[in-house]
Amino acid sequence: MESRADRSITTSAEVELDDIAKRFGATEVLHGVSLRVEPGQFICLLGPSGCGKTTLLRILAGLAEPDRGRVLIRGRDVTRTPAYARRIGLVFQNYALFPHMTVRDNVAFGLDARGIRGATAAERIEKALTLLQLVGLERRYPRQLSGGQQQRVALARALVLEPDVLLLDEPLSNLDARLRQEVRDQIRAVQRALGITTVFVTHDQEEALTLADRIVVLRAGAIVQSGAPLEVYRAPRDLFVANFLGDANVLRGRVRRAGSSAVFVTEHGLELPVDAAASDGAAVLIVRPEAIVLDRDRGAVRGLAGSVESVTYRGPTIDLRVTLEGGERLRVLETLPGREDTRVAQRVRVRWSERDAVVLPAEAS
Amino acid sequence: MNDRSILFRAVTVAIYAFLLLPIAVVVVASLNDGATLAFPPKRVSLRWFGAFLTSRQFMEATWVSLEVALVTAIVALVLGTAAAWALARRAMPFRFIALQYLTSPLILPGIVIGLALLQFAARLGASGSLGALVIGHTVVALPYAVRAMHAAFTQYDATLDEAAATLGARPLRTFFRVTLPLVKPSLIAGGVFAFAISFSNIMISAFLVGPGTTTLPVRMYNYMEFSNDPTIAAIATLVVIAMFSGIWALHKTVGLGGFFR
Amino acid sequence: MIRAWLLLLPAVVFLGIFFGVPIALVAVTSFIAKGGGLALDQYRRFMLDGFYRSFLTESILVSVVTTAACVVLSFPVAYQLARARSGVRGVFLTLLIAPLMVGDVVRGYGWLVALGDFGVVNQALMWLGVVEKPVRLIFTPTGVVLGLVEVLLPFMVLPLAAAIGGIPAELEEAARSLGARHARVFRKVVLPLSLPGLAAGVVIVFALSMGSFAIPLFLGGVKVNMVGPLIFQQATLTVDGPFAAAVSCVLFATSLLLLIAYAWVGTALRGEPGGR
Repeated sequence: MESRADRSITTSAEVELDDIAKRFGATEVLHGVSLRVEPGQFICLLGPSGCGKTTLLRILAGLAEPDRGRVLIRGRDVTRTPAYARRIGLVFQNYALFPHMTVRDNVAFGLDARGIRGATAAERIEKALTLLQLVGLERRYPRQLSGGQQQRVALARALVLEPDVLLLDEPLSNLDARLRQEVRDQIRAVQRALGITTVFVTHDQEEALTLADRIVVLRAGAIVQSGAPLEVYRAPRDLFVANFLGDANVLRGRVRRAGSSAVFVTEHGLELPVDAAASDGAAVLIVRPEAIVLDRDRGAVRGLAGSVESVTYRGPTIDLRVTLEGGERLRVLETLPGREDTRVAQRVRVRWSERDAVVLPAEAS
Repeated sequence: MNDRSILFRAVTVAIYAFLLLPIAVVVVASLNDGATLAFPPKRVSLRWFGAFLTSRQFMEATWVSLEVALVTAIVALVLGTAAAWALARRAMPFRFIALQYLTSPLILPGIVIGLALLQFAARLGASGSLGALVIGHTVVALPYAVRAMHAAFTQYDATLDEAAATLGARPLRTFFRVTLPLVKPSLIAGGVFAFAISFSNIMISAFLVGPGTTTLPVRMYNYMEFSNDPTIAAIATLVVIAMFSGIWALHKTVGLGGFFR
Repeated sequence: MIRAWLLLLPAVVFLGIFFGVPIALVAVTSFIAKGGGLALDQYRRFMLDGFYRSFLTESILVSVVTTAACVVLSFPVAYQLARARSGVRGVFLTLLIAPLMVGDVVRGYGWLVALGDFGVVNQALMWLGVVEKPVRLIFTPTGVVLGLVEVLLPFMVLPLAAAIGGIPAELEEAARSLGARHARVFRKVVLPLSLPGLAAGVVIVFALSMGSFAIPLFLGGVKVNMVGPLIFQQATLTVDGPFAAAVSCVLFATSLLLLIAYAWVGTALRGEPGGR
């Protein structure tokens, strides 16, 4: 469920999904998902394949009907409304451009379906083509376009209709890595320029982190966490989210409270002070590799003792594996390298700020 | 390409020659000047083509065949396209059985279908009518239409229809503006096959023709019973030319893929 | 969401009314006895009278030979078709399909001319020195088989070619690289893997041959007794509806059994049976 904080905006939501459930045959793909998207927001549905994110998008689009629940767009209940009567735009993973029509005709299709022709249509088409830098390509056929260009035509085609919501189903996965970044930025720029509410489905956490105002992490048909990128990254609610977004060092152990402070005791007996809000009992401690500070000083006393197992230079960063005395293995990511070489088997000490560690009850994994 | 020997290729060529033998014979025989079917012809002329074109009976029969074939092709295409579209949807149960059912007239004996329709039509008092002919031909032409369109629809990218829907197009508009243009080649192929099957049909026509509704193949057969002259060869040659050019044109424009499956 | 059923219905109903019902009526008619009332008279007449039974046996014999000949002849053609480059393949396909569209009357007539005592075949045989006098081919079972094989060959070639097309060429190359010669590659690789297509072709050709009418009529006359012309004759000349109906039902049942057996075997052989 999304947090209370998301309800702070008082205007009515642009999109609301209320307890959506869907099953295919014997498999329940969505277990009662609820979601609100505010006007102008860019949200990402993020999750591994099979988590139901595409199904959710299709239900939003009207291409699938939920077994239970409601879909509301701008306050209107459109659950039983077919796709062609909803004011949504959808960009498909394979773009789905009409191969027998030129770029212009593709873009004009929706306008034509609505009876908008002639000068009015031409004007809107011009605007859309300009916005997506497609001017000059009007007479081409989809097969004569590059992947990136096809992508933009698909966008133009959807946006020219000024839909209430723009939906994108993994639009970048068919592009090569080089293009992906470029098109990603373009999509964001266009979305900001138009201020259109957008729902973007992806399995790529980097895309989600860079593009979204809000990330909704899905797993096995349910939302596990929803929030701003930084929030979801810094404060994952469970191990799955922690591992799915970025990398995570996981230490298992117990939390012991002592008055107003708390201590996390690892399986091997290491004691680490943690946030007093942590609750007693079996727990896991998560700390991101980039949050760990490596102390190479021989005389250092703060932090946990360990020895370097491997060192990988990645240019702007160094990737180190450190094995602690207790046997735990940590991954450390350092920026600003170059001061001194780090050798394998070198004895070091690692430490991190309490604030950077997340303690979760053991069941949350 | 394979590295098979010349022998293998020669054998294949010989088999094709065998396949085309009667057709070649007919074409050559049609050029006979004399009234007998000498092979090879002693003297060559086109007079039998003239005899065909000036024969009122044959011209009427040709006209009937053309009319019936055209209507049959249209009806078979409409019924077959609708059925094929339905069968290509993901969620269709019994798809295999339905497909077998719709294509069964292809291998169940045509003669039995002819007899059955004759007795059926006789009961309804409709035997010998153009309508009965069209219906009978449609029964045997429908499988061709269904197969051609089913192949097309299963290969069709359904997300295109979904995209059209998200752009505000209602199902009918989507079908006519997006789906149909993209399956046009198969539509044409199916139509041509249905037309040809109807035009050349003897087994159904033999049972269902009546005075004024005799088709060309039946007229030809009747003529063959009492006359030996090469008029039949001339007609046959014209049919061969028409069919071969039709199929070749189909191959060049639209492709014969629907049957190679 | 569209009700797909509604679109399927017209074709299904059409066939039901104009195919299913008439066939059912034929079945009913076949039980009409000579003096009225329902009995198995007509069937008895067909199956027990040696004369009429010979029609069935002759049809089966001719069909078996025809099918066997088609199997043998279609392999080279189907193989070439499946492995041909797309330009050449188009020519092959045209040559296979166009004759089908031309019709039985044209082809039957062509065979009539070709098989005559002074027709092409005999002239060729005499020219080659194989025989001294013309061989009687018209109105013989041999002539009928020749005609049927020619007419039905494409129906065997197409499904077989489709099946062979599904065999990756690499398999044959692999076999050859392991030292197998052509014959062995064929026996061990091509033949087993093309069986579904072959089965489809066999069923189709046998069924069509059993039910054939024009070719047996033209080339067999009254000397070769096959079921197709018999039905036609009984229906139109002697106008014995019930008897024609009974013969038809026997023929229909044979074909239907074949179709069911094929479908059953096909689904048993994993997934959808090889298409045609």
